[in-house]
Amino acid sequence: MTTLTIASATHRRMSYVADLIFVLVQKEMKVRYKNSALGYAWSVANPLLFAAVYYVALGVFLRFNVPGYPYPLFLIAGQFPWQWLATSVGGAPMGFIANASLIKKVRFPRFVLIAGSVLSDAIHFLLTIPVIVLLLLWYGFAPSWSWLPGIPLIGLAQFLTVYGIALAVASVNVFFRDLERLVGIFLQALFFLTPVVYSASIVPSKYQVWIGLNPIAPLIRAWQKLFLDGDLDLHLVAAAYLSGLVCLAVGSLVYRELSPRFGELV
Amino acid sequence: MNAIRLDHVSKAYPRHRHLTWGLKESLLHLPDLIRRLRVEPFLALDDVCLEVAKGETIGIIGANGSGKSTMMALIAGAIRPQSGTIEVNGRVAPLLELGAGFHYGLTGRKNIVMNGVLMGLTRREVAERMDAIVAFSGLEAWLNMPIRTYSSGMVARLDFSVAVHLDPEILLIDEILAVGTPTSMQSVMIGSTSSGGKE
Repeated sequence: MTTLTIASATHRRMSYVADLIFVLVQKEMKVRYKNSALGYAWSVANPLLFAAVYYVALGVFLRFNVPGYPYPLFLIAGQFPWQWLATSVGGAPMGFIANASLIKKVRFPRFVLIAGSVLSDAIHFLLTIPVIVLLLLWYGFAPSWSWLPGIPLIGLAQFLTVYGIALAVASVNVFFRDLERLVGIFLQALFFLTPVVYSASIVPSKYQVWIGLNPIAPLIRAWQKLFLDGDLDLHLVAAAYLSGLVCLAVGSLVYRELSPRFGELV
Repeated sequence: MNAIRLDHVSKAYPRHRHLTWGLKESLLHLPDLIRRLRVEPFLALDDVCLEVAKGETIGIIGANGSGKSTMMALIAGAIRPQSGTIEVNGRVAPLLELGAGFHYGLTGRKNIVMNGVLMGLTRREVAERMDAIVAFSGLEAWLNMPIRTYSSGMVARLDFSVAVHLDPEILLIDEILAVGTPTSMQSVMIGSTSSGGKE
């Protein structure tokens, strides 16, 4: 009897948290797609424009190339998933602060604010995959069946990574507001230290260890292999999950430590 | 059994609050910062006892900064006290400052769902109450319009309609009704007679 009540209370709680995340994601999607005529176009245009800039600067002016692939295609395979991370982490500092009036007065699990926005950025990323397909076909490449298990598998690893980082950043920024300035610089540095505009194999062997230590590198490399070669590299996926779980653990710890005081500080 | 019981509750806003100044301000005003850190933390509530019985309506009046909203936030469970115990028996519905928990780009209907879920209902529970909420708000004609087109009185009415349909046993109202029209003020009376409300 008692266990039954506890079980049903846990069940209600879980479906409640799921509903909470659902309405927050729905809100973000509606707001982004409804209030501007070019809503979808913008979420595609953003990474495409970045890729175009890198192509002109690095591919045309510096005559850089990645052996085996047309350079624009290589850029896109890494830039699209990177854009998800950059948007989520770049927006994370405001994750709690922007909802100050709610946090001050209502008791609800605060992590849903971050989970909701990371999830909606994930959906935007998934919606841009058709553009990757078009560009692959344009360059005479083709999508592969390995995408079917590959996209959800790597996608989940990226969700864990991004959510963990965003949760930590959002929590710390409640206490230390300067973090939001640092996040931009940090993201910029991480971008150039991650094999997005170059391939990991180009990096001289004495620096390879740094690529190995970069928690984002296995993710981006796994996406590049999947999109460009149709190859689901399980070593990279395992490494991506490992760093994803570490990010999640760190994020959760920071959140658990700091969240009880959000109500008085936001 | 009391609906709300505060037993020797104290709430101090701690020193690290001042660190939210940011690095630059902290460095520029370093002596000031150190002085502030030495100062006793700000005591918003000092040893407060309060009992509210079921069915009772209580109003709290006080100067700005005397701790009214802090008490609300404590009862709602949004913040925790330094000392003392807070007992709350029943589901709490806090009425926020106007429009918090709403998104102005979304329609009235979508906002009812979002607000209801933020306040503790599941989506199904909101759907079950939708007709009643809409009828209570008297905003049928506006329901599919984004609420940025609403007047502030209308937003307050929507907010309040959701709050009373949470089946709150305790309704916390914090200066929200400053914008209320005579019609919505009548609704307040309806809302609070059935519960231990508090203003």
